[in-house]
Amino acid sequence: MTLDRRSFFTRSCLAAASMAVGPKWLAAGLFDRRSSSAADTVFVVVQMAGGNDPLNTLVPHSDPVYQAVRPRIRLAPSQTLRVDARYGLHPSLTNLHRYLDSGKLAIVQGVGYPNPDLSHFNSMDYWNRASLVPKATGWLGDTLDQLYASERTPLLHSLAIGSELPPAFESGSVTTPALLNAETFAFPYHAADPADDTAQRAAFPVLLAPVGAANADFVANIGSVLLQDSTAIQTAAASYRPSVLYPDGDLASGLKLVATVISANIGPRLFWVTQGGSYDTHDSQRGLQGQDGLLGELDAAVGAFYEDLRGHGQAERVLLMTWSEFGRRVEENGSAGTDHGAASLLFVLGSRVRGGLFGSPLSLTDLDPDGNLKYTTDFRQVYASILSRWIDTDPVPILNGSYPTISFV
Amino acid sequence: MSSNTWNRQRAAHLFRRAGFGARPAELDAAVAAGREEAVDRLLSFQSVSTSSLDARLASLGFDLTTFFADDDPRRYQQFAALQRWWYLRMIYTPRPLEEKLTLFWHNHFATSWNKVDNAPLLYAQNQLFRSLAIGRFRDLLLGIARDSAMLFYLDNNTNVKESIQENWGRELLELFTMGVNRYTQQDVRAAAAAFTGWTNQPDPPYAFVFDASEHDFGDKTFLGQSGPFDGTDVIEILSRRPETAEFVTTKLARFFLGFPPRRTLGRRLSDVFLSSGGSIRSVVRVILLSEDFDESADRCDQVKSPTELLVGALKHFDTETNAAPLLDYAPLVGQSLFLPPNVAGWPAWTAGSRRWINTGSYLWRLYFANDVAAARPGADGMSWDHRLYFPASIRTADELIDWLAERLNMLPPAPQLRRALHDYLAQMGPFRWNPDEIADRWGRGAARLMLSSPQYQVQ
Repeated sequence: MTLDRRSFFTRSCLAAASMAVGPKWLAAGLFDRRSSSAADTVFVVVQMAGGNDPLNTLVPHSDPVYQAVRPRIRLAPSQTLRVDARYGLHPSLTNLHRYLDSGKLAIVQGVGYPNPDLSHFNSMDYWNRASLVPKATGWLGDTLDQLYASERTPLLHSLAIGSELPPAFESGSVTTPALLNAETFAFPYHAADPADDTAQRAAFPVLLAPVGAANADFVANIGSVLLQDSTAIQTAAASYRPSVLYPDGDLASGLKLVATVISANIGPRLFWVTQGGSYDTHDSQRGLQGQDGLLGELDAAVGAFYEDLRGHGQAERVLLMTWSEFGRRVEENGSAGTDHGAASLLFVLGSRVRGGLFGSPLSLTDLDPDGNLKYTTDFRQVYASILSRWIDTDPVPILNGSYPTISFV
Repeated sequence: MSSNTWNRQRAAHLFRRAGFGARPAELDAAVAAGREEAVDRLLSFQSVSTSSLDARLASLGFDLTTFFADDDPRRYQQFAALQRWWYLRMIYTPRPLEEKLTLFWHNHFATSWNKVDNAPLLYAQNQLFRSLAIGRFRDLLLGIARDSAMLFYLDNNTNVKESIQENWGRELLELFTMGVNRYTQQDVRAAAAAFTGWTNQPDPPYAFVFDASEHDFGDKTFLGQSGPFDGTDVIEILSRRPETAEFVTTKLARFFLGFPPRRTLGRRLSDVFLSSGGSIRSVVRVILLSEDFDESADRCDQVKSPTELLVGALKHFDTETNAAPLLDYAPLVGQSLFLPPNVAGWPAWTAGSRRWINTGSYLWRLYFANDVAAARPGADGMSWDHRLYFPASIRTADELIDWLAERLNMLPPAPQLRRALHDYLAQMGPFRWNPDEIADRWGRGAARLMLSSPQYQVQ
């Protein structure tokens, strides 16, 4: 189901809400929550939900099997962006191709986990929690707990763009705000009556004092976090001047908000944006509604984000990783699409990334019993590398085990 | 409070948990009737006429039974109509426990439109939950095993003897009856084999059919018993298992209590389930009359699910609605009807109610509070006639606060809630009460703050 936001916002009181800087009584929150220094590294996750097809992303165009089993959706060598004699990138990925050439982009091939589960839900859960068995917390939530749970005053360390909190951020004690955009992430305005609005905004925080009931107090604490963070984020957004023109779309506007908060340096180190639309391309994979269009949107949005960070002198601090819960079947299906598969690939982008291809090349003939690509790199190796070498924290408790790191960072 | 206490607060708690809240007159009647009688009235909903609800729904002209072609955009409109239809039932029903239990069964046998893709099938499934809401669990299981939406959702319609598909068989054991790790993989295989050939017609209306040519008639060993079992046999066996009694009654108790039942109640519920032939009515009655339920009233600390919040608020304000605005809010506050996150349902109902709340979802609860309190008389979507709502007798701020707390089925306001409302009302000028004029500001503003408060988010 898609939410028609236009009709929603014209109907709600938000229609006339303007973006304004929060009142003085909240301004203190901005400083309470400031925590990072300019040197702190930042990690941005972009989720490509639905199961992106790796073989039409990093295309093994010279492999005769690839050309043979995908008669309708294959890309010819000349259509791809050259990587080497064996591989080319999907033609939508012009920015990423440029970053690969300049050594800023790493592509990790064959990412997966043992005994692949072709269910979207289970597979996403594994990736979100960095665990193949049920677990209550997420890997980034665990990271936040490990880094910041001992703080006496909770500060703002993370941000997820979207209406729901990604399970990766579920945590014992550190709250990650989830927001659609800066404009709506504010105490609601009562547009018809400014005096009433002022009185409401003054009275609401009084409601948030603890009452001694665990869940009510939990809600109240979330309310306090919300007021503090919304003020900080709105203040940052009000004065932000992007150094590039971002393309249209939710992914680009989400990344723009991430760049805003990074540049404002108000604390957060972990960010999450989920690309809308689904890579679950069971049919009509080629074309603007399919993977071609989605990769194009991804490339344009990530390209604008990276250039914007460079323009603000922030690119050195930032590492961006994409992920998708699984790859797709080697051969195309009867409806010019591909069915759920196993091993996938992911991108890691950043000024301090060591670029190039990582992970062993995939065999299109040595497949698992379900006929899927065998993974060659456990996704937890990628997490371990980022945790230890970029976020600078011990990956072992978070991943519940030790995984070899990869030298892309 | 002792367990014998029966008063307005306890009655309000009963109506919140077993329904979506109550009007003052309903509370008066429940207090006068006594606790046991109040519970039995809620349970005896089948004798309550739904004619006014039926008339309201009929006037909206929802078509929930026509099957549209795959590419027909009316499929989406029909799905929206189905969601509205159910919200309206919950808001305006004279049988609150029927709808509350239907919501429980929707979560228990979670089935998503995302995969089923046919609103008429989910409509039929929802009616199945309603008709058997307090029936025998075995009948509900058999009904859901033959339910077309479920046959699609867990793929049993492709479960054939030559190529067994375990999805339904596994979830039947893991999520619907016994609970995880209380059976073997061989039991899963046997259950799946027993349901081979339980499929649906390939075309609308996709009715259930038993395809004998695809059924495995051979002997199976299931939970230590052997025989040429078919799906009905498996359901009979599962319905009598103590693990099923424990798993299902614990989940029901947790839904109403907000915490797992104490050992004494847990044992009693299993006994009642097994001795009554799986009577859901008997189990729910014991839960609602238990000491654990009294304790849940004293704690009053279960975070309301998004559906309880949206439905309850409109009920508490006598809002006139066509439920369309709720569809915008539902995904933002974290629960869209007929779109559970997966077959395990919404995790907050099993893993703890605070999972409903994050900065995003609470924020959208605040927006919702604002919209409900700002609704004008006669407005589309949500209409609230505040002039009829507030009584002319109110003379002081505290009277207004107490009166609203009662109408919203809240506990007596905590000091900070009272202070916030006093602060707010003081900023709005010296308190006067004139329902025709001033209510618009003070009444609406106070209502909005109450709806926004952490105390209103819990029940």
